[in-house]
Amino acid sequence: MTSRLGRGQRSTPALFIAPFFVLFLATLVAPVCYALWMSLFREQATSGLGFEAPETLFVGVDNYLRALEDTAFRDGFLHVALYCLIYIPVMVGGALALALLVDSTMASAKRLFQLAYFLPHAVPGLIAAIIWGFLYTPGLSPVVDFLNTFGVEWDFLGADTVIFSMANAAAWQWMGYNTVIFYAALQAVPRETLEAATVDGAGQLRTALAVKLPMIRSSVVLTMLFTAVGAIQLFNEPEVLRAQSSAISQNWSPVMYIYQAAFTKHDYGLAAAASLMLALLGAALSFVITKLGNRWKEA
Amino acid sequence: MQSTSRTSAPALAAAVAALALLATACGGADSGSADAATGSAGKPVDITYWSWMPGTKDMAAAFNKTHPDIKVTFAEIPAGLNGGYDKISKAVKAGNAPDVVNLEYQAVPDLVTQGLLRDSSGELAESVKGYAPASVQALVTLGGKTWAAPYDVGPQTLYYRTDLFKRYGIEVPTTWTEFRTAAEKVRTASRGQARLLDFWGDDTATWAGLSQQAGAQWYGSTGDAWKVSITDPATKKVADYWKDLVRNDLVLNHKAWSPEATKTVTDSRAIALIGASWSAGSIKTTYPAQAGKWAEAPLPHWGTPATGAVGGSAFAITKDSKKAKAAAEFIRWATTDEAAVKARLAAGTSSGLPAAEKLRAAAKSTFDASYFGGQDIYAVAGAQVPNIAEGWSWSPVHNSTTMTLQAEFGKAQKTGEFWAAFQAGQAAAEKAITDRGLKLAK
Repeated sequence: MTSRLGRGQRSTPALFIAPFFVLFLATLVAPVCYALWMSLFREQATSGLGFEAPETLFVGVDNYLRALEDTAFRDGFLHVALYCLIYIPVMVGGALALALLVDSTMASAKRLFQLAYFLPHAVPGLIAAIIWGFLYTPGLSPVVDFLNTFGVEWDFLGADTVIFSMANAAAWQWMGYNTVIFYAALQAVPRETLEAATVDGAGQLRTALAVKLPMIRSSVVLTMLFTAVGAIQLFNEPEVLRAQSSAISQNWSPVMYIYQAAFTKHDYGLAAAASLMLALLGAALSFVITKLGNRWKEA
Repeated sequence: MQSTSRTSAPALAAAVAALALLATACGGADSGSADAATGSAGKPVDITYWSWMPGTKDMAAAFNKTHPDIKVTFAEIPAGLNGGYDKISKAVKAGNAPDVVNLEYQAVPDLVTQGLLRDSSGELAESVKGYAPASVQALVTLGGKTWAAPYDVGPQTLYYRTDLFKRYGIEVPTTWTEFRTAAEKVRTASRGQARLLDFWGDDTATWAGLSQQAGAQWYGSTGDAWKVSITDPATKKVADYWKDLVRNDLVLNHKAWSPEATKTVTDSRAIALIGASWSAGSIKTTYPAQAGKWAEAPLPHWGTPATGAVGGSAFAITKDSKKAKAAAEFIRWATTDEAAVKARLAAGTSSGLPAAEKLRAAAKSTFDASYFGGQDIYAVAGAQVPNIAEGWSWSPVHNSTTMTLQAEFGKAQKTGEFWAAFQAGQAAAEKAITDRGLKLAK
């Protein structure tokens, strides 16, 4: 192999890969290393009132311990876990149902529906969250007015209910996107298998649940992985709805906590430590879900 | 295999070179030279000024026109807590900070204890003493040193709908007792359709002003230690008062600045607002259809006329500015010269009240008060400045304390159990002080 490639030819691939590694190092590896470094230090006042410039002290793992001891940080994870419990089943279940419906032999205008389902994803997340915020606001929202005419009083922004409103906004945005992924996977299911199922007497529903669903499970697993990892970075929906609802604190989710630690408290050590722990959790979660997914695929 | 690692060596070198290039591009650009403390028309001193406040760019331009020996370069930064203060902090640490910045009063101790501001007693103290009321001077003076020069002041006031006050047969309340009676009357007279006020029970700034009025001093210092007294008796009195009003459904309680709160006023379901001098401008732009129906009055009080101060901003010189003299000259102009106020408020949308009394006529001339039926709102607000309760100061941890307070106020929205929030705020503030290595007085 070496003998057949000239020197110039051999360096060509390296040249093509280089841009990736440059950006990878500069925008991911270097910041992570810097965060690791920052997480070991802490600014401390040098006098009782602190009118002299503060000094930066090496504190070891103290920042990590401080984050873990902070109930606000831990509550953030509970909030996200609760959010996932509501959001993931609704979003993935809904996307699967829509994909199977579009894929069923009885469906018509398939292209139209595919496009219609995907459309919400074309709206930027922040904008969507703002619009949903208005739709949840009594006095402004036609939805609330409509519910009121039937005597239904639902406080979308209340302390116990705002998490559903958040999950709803996110599900609206992502359901169609995942429908398209599932639909593409369904296209790859061999037609002979489906014909065989029909010949064996399976109806539409039976075919969908017993044949199609198991055959696209790898994309379902992949979607769950992306969704779960995405959910631990929850920021847009709660940050935007915070302007409308007093039920959401400024450090409601872990990312919001990190944001406030860095930009309100100027506690960069704490922010860096919390970020790294969040990243670690994300990595661990990806690992576990992939492992579980593989086992399920092999089973 | 071996060949692969050898061929990637140049690529790696290229990568490292590219990284180095990126790093140099990010750093660098050290502003200005160390010499030239005093400029001349031929060779003016260049100073830089960062702000996010409306009209400041035009103000800097106006300064440059009339001051040939100093040239101010303006740059707009994000609003304070939205990244502005952070940007200032990073710039000071990187050694490329501007010479002059704007900041809100409650951020002064925070920025001072981060070591971002210069002790400007020598440059600004005398000027500040000359024009700023004592209650405002206290906000920029820490440990006997002057750290910033006040620009405006926001005495808390009451805004009300003249037409609806008439319709529901109520007079403008002057005390909090009268206010409660008026609240009952509005509810009855409107058959439950309207309330006197939409209280912003999650807004720490409103609470701070109301507490200050009642005589509270949330923060202070004794010796070389910070003192936190958010749970003082005066604050308790205020919390209990509003608990009563919220629980008895005499006022609405929506989230501050939320669309729901705006809609409530638009629909005339709340007929008064607790604001500050600067609220006049935002009321005018937020509720254009209610022109001619609003008026401003002193805030109801607890027996003797007093009020709190909400908002307001100052000018400061940064820690390592090498042109403090020129910077101070610009700041003195910006805080005491009529031309500065006229340029800054030229857009006519701000009802900000300058801290210097002699500038208020100029400020007034920029604001069309026909929305307020021609009422002299500058006179109303200006008359309240001497009533601002003295002894109030902020602390380095107020921003992080606000986070806790706001979260807890949110929980009390329906129940009115605001006192629990203040208790949580007290604990959070104490923890934040020791967390930063500052000394806490017990």
